[in-house]
Amino acid sequence: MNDARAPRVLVLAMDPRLMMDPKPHVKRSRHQARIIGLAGYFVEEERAEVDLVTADSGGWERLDERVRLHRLDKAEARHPLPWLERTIVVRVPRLLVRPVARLGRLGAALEKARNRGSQAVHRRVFVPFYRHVRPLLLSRIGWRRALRDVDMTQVARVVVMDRTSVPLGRRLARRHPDLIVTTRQDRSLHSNP
Amino acid sequence: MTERRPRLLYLAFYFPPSRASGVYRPRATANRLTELGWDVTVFAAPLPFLYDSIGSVDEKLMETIDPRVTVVRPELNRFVWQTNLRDYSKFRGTFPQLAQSLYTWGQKHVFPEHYASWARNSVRRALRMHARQRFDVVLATGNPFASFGAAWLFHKLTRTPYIIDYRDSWTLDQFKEEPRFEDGHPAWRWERRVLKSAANSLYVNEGQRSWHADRYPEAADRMMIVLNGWDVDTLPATVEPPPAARAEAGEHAPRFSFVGTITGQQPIEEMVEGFTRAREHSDMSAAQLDLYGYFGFFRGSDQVLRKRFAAVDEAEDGGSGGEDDEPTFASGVRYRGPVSKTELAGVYRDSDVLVFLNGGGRYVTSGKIFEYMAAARPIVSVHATGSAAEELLRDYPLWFNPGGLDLADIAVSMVEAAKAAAGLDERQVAEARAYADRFERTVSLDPLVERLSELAARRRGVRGAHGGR
Repeated sequence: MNDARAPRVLVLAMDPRLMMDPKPHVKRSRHQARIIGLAGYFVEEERAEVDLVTADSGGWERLDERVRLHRLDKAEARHPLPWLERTIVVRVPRLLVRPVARLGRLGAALEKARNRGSQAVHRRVFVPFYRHVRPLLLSRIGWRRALRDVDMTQVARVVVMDRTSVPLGRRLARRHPDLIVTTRQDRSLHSNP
Repeated sequence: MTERRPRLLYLAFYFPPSRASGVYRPRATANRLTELGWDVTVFAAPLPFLYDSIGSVDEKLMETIDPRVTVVRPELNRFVWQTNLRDYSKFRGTFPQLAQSLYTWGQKHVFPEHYASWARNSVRRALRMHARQRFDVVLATGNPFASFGAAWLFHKLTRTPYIIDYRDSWTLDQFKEEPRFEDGHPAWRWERRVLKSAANSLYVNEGQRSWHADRYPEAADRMMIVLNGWDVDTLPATVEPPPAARAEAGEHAPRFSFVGTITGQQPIEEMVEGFTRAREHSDMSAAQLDLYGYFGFFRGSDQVLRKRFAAVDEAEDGGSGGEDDEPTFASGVRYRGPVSKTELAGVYRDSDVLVFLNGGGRYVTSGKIFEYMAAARPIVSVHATGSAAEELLRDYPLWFNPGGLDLADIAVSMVEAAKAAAGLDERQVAEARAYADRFERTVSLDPLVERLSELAARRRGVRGAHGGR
């Protein structure tokens, strides 16, 4: 019998820069503080076990230490898609240019052009594409890595804090029909989704 | 063969059971036109939006709609209101960034409002209904202003004349008294477009009309003022003097009432602090100020407003708190909750003085003021000088105007109003009511009814000449 176990809350904040509101009135840091505050509230006031899933590497120093932080940024960097892009757009051209890069001014100019070209392709081609694919990719990573150890029968509420977290939230909603999965940031375990 | 009734398509998104402040004018207009023999079809907000998305309904209002009015509720894409991920479409759930980008593009390039899908679906439904039996005229009321866009598009497709009714301004921020949008925003282009083709545009006060006339001089000669009004089903035909006038001298504690929705724009602090000061007067020590209505129009807005009342309370005496279920915000100030339209007569009957709390300036009249005047009670104004309501109150015999938001002046006006209430006789009350009778809703709506009838007759004449249905 383990009925007295604390309820669990999942906070999905994959990318605090992309809030649900397309024209947010608050800065990223303010939004991150809001996420930290919400997680802290559930731990402190509701005596819940809180898991925070994010792909953002920094800014979590003030998070309550009782909150389990699942960082996916390293796993994302190792994923074949961004790895392949970096290989094709940066590593291979760099290898090709390397023999001539040390040959005086011409070599330096070639290396500079290579660098510019790589950056342009990354920014103008890959980033616009990856922007739309990233939520799906993080959903897969999160599902396999962060949620593997979470007992979903104990989860009372999933709070989705940004657009990038939507596919993972929706996946949870489909798998667990009674689970509350919401973008509302209510400080309550059982308020309507 | 009996003549076919004139047929109106009324685009009124906020319509009962919505409890938004804007429902009373469409409700009265639809009922009035039906009573006059019109065949009225109202296109209103879908019920899931009212119940689930904004949680803003008063079901009793639905009972006040003439059963002959046809109400149609076209679909609305609730993209921005969806908070439950189970409501997301598969596309949005899979590609949230792409879905957001497409939605934002539509706002920028198609119609700059979240209600655009409702307007599009309204036109689709209207065209189907029009094909079966033609509409003679269209009346569209905003907000939301997507209804204006729908009327314009329906006109372009069917040549049916339309009138647009500005309950609120679209491009003018009525509270800040400045343009709501930057230059080049698509709302300006749309407003110019709908005004250019509209048979008429209606405004609730002269300030609003003249602002639009200056901006759109080519449409100025078709701009009309149709005031709001009070509804006969809210108040009895005759009004008796207030309880203070009926009680023995010194035996009755003055009862002040505010009736309406409390919003963030209103000078709440000034009202509460002014009342607290008024209670320092010897005759007012037991006075009560009862607040009837909702906090905000939408679910979730009440917390912020309650905090503002609580802040005044703490500043006054370190917090009091109610002893019963009705929260007390400051000494003598009680929140009594919402009352339905059918119970309003009792609230006014039991009040000695009405407090007119208004947040707007020269562009905001507030529909509640008409009901206040019809209740024939002393009215104390709590608003900045220059409110559009002042024009109406100027000749009301029981108006107590502090001339601004100075706390001492508000307190003095409240004390004077309470004294006046105690001395009112039936003749004075009847005089006040007689003044308000000119603002009874059917009287206010007369110019609109007349114009709609002209347009319908002209339309039917043209159609008859061409052998149409």
